[in-house]
Amino acid sequence: MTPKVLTARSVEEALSLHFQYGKKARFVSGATDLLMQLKRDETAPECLIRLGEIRELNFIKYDETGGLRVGALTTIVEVANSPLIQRKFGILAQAAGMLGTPAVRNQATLGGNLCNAAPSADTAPPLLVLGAKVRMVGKDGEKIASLEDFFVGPGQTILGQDHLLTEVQVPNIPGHSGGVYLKQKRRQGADLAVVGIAALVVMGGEVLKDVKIALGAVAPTPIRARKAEEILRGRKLDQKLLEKSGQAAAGEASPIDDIRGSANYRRELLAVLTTRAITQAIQQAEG
Amino acid sequence: MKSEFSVFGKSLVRKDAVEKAKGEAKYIGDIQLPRMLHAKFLRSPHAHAKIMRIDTSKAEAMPGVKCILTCRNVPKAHPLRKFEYLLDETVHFPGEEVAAAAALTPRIAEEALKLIEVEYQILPTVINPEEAMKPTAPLAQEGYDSNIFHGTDLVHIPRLEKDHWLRLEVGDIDKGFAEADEVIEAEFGWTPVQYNCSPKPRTVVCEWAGDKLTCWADTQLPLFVWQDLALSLSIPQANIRVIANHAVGGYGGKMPEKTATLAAIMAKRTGRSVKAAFSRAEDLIATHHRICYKNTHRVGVKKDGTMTALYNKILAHWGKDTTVPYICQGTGLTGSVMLYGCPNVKSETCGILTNTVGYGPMNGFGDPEVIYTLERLMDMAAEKINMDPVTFRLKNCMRYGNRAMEYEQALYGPVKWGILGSDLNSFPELIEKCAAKAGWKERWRGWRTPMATKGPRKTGIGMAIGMHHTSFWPSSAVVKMNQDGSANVLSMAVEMGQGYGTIISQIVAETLGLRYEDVNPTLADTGATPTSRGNVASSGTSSPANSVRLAAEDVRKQLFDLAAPRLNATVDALEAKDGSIGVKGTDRRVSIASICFANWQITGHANNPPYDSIKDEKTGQVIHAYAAAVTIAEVEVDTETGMVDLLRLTSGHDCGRAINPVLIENQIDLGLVMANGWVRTEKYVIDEETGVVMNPNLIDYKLSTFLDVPKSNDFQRFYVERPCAWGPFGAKGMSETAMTAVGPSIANAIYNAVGARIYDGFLSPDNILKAIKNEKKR
Amino acid sequence: MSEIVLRINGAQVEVKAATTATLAEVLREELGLTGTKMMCNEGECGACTVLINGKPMLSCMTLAIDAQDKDILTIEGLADPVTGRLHPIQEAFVEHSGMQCGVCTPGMILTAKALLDNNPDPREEDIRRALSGNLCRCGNYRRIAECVLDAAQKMRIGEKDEE
Repeated sequence: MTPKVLTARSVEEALSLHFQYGKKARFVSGATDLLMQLKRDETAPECLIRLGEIRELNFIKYDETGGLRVGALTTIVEVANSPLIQRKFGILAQAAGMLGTPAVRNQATLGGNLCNAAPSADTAPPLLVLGAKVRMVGKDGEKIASLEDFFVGPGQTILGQDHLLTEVQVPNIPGHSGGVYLKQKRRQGADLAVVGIAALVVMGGEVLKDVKIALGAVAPTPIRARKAEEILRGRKLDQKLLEKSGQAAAGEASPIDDIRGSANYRRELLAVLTTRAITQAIQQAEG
Repeated sequence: MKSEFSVFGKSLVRKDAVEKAKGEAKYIGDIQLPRMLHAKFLRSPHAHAKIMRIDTSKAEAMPGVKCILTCRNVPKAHPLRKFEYLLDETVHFPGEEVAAAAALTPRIAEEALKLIEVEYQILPTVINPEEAMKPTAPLAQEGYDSNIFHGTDLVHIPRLEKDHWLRLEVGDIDKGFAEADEVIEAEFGWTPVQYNCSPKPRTVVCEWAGDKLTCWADTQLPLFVWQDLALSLSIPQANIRVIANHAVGGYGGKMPEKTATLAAIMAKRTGRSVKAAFSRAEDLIATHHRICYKNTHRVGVKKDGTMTALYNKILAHWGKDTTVPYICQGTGLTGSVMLYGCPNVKSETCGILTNTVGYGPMNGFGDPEVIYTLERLMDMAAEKINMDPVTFRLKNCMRYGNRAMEYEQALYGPVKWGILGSDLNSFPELIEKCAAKAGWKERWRGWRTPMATKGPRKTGIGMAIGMHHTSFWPSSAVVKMNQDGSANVLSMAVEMGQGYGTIISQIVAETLGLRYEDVNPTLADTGATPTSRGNVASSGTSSPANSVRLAAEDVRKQLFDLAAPRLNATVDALEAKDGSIGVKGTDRRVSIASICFANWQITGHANNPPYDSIKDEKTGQVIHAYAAAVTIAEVEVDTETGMVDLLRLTSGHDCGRAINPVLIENQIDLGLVMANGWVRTEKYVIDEETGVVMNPNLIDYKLSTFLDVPKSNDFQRFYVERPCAWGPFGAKGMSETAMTAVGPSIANAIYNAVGARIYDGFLSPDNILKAIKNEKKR
Repeated sequence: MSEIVLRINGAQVEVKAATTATLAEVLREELGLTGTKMMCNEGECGACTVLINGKPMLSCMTLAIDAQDKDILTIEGLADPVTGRLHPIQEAFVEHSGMQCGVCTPGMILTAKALLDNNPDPREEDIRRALSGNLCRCGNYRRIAECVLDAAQKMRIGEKDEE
């Protein structure tokens, strides 16, 4: 049976439509992931609630105190091409520009990428190191959660059936910082991440005042690599420490063997690429 | 050489360019007929199983469902190219068709399949070909006595020896090895599976009018589909019209599957046209893929680089198919014996059956799979005697006068050695030109010396040579003159993108002195075009195009005969030029249009001469049809991640005569990009236990994109023209040859960069990383 | 089933289709506009690319319902409707044999059009990146880049003429 398709024109309407249909309904924004599931018979909702008409959820806003706010329906290409995001939150623009193919980026949304919650989601590691939060709206009001708490398992988030992700909030980054997202793929063309690594550093002279590392595609969800961070935080840059940090990141991950790569290979990549990501982030901070 | 022609040799606009650029070209998948039904197939989840019970009653009762076929209601006819029945009671690979449903829409047909109940009895299964070779292995074909192929009722290979191996030998390899200063041997891993990935998955449309069937089939071999249908339906071929235009990218592998016959049966039973189109996933799971070889080579060389002996052992994985893959064995054997002019060579091969999808011909069928490993061994040999690899190939590559044979003789016999024609003097020329264009002298810094090292990144350069036959087969063509002096060329060969329709129009226009615009092809219609096999084995230019040339010459003779009295001249004083027949050296002429207006019956017809009638002028020996290739690759390897970036490709090819230079370059590009994908990005994964394909989609079966091939300045291809003794104006087919040298050139370049030999077939980053680590340990 | 109104190649078209029908299905099966090709039906190959409000989108991954109230351009709408003259990109593909089997061609041409409309003077690297989501199994990448560069040059000259 093909599902009913309903159109929501506001957040309230989306929520009340969902309330009507409950578990049998699914929200759809860019539709790239959902259509794939429909075609493969992996999902059979009775009702699809289109969010694409909700203009109020497509925005990129910034202020000096609050930082960045990006509406959930902002397309990935808008995130990648936004001069503001490129300038102030470059790692996010960089990762958005590496997601899928150009046509996919025209269609996919930031909210969709996060709610689909693939462990390899490209926007997740950068947003994790940026300390992002998500705003979720339900019939009973809104909730703000850290992105780290948002992901619960592969394809699973805390969103629940009756809430809508409306925006992503990113606090300002201190000065003298640099951020880099490295994505290992199986070819030079588009691919899901075999391993994804985001590194954000804040320099204080030669000292790594702060280090944040996040990993994608190597655990049930995108994760922060806190042990790897600890090894470097507050320390002077040192090649041996960098390598130790890389090894730690490899240890904190729990990669699996799958079609895209073996667990062993992924661990090797993590060690190498974490070191590289930090190095490049430092160069960016200094440059 | 080009100035003697006015149309031939020019990069003229393709005959199908405008319709393709406008989206107006109608492919088989675009066909929509009134009341057309859509067919979908139910597929076995098991690799080897017997159907104990199959119940289609619920499916048949579903509204919109018009016909269901199973082994219970389909005739047990042997399609010509298949061992098994149309819908067998026993399935032999995961994904084999078990039932077919025709319904008003594709969605309804898919829903109907879900209602078909099947009870299977699982039979002993064998997936891994090396396991299959063991005497204790389960039998992949339960009615057969071995997993090593040794002939069937349908397929008889006379040269198969008692131990089920096929062998080809020249000279005395024991003597040859004894003479060698160095003997180098290596065993290589299985060459990768490659999925054909034609841009349109398999599609057929069938429609009956009374007892006459029209079948639009997206295939490169309309002849085989035609035979299949006639035998399976037990009706004369004359009642069947197979139309194969526009076909799409066959790449050697669009062999006729049984869907055409099943669609025809459903069309007959429902009285409606039926379209059966595979999804991409089905195409990935259930069509022929590139054959895989596990090769061992041993070569003996003298210090001066002379090759004294060569031994090749080729294990071939056939999967479940017992009727198609043997063609590849013939190719592999002859290729392995012929690529080098070594006087003492022995090659042997066997075919292994398993419960996986059937493997068989794909772009090069049998040559790339041998050359990929052979050329890595040759690099090892050159290194052993510290000789530049280019010099080594120059010294030993095949050339004019070398013994040669036709690859099918390796299967059927008798083996009648002839020679390579003078066109193969192109080989040394290609090697030297390629090296010059690639800057080999400046860039090659010696064995195990990368071109450059930047941190963990190392760049390397490597080369390889390759070859493939270009088949010369029975073929027939008609050139039909129209009353206005324009011409239609009728040929059963297929336009699937390579430009066949364009080049035959050029050939006819050149021969008859017509404008290119006034010639048009009618192709691949068994009810209207005289017979060829189709387009396969790089035979297009060599075979059906040759019959086109002969048919055009037949027309020219008729025009001359009619014009001579009008011009008061003898026939040998005439020429066809600028749309007229004229007396050479005068302005006396009469337009072809005026001749045709009154003589609307002018039709030229020709069949190709027999293959072994082409003889070398000097020696009188039979000439065999081959083409050569050389590729030089440069790569950058990230030694910490194993990731490879293909930086440059320089590739030289031998085409006899270039009919249309741009189309030749396009065909070279096809081979280069496809080979790059074969060895580096297109990983095909089968579950080792169940044989089920783990990545039946393009997300995880990764083709080369724009970013995976070098940019234009670093992507050089060229060709060399030395006319061959057959073929229109000396042109010959070369498309598959473009596939053969790339893979090994990339592998050899990686070796130059990182100093670690990779024996695996698939050059994935983790295989490269493993090889680097193992080398460090040594 | 739903009734959808689409704006295709400048014309309003009403069509009945399943609620989750993709734009590609509607174009090809309901409207007979088979110029938009299906090669994978999973958003991986780019052959089904159409322009929606000037942006390349995968029609096999777009719900037809989501394509309403937007300007859709398919390959059939590219040539001049009055004179029949091909778009310069189409002309370049014809002149330089930018296709072999032709299945990727409509997607390539439309994606190239979107690029040149935004960047009339692209380098080869820009073309490769913009078309990186369009697969060509016939391996014609080098030739396609050549065609797009040639078209870009002709379009710039053409514009100069108009000025």
